[in-house]
Amino acid sequence: MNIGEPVRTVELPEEEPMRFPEPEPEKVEPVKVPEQEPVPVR
Amino acid sequence: MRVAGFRIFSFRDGRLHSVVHDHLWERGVNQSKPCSTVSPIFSDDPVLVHPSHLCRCGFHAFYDEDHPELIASHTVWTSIYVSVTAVIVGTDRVVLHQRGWRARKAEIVGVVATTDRLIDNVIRNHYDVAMVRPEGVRSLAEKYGILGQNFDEGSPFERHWGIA
Repeated sequence: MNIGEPVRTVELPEEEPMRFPEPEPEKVEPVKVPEQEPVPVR
Repeated sequence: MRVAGFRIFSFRDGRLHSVVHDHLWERGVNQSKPCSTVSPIFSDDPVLVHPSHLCRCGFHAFYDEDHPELIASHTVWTSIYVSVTAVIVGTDRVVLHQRGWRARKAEIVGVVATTDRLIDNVIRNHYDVAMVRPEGVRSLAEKYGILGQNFDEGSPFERHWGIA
């Protein structure tokens, strides 16, 4: 391939792939379960 | 920023190869090997960095998809192998020439579809590239990089927004 004479040189840093921040996990409030009284076993 | 250009590949054994040198192109970014034709002792640069003005190594591409030599090359190689015209983008160190460029790293981003659907599918699947008609190859190149002769003007996107 004859692309002619060199004219000039450039440095083109490789583009980094776009990175998106990881979404923070959704905060879930713990559900309070009312304590049940133990059922007496006979 | 990436520079875009056009070149010919031969299609053999399900892969794309350089037509002049026996180089098998991989999917994604390919890295050229520095040549040994020019030694640093013959250069003003104490540490000769390839590709340079003094050597001919690197991945070659033309600025124009309709350059007569590119078309002639396609015609010649098609008589020997299945040959395709493709868009490549160059990064890292790039030497801009009068009619094309040489880059240390390059990636195939699009290929002009052949008349053989099986070959097109193999290329598309292996290289994960767009297959385009000849009339769409230039706009595809402009999507991926700056065509060398427009290098100082920036990409069409940058020109549109005045940030070149």
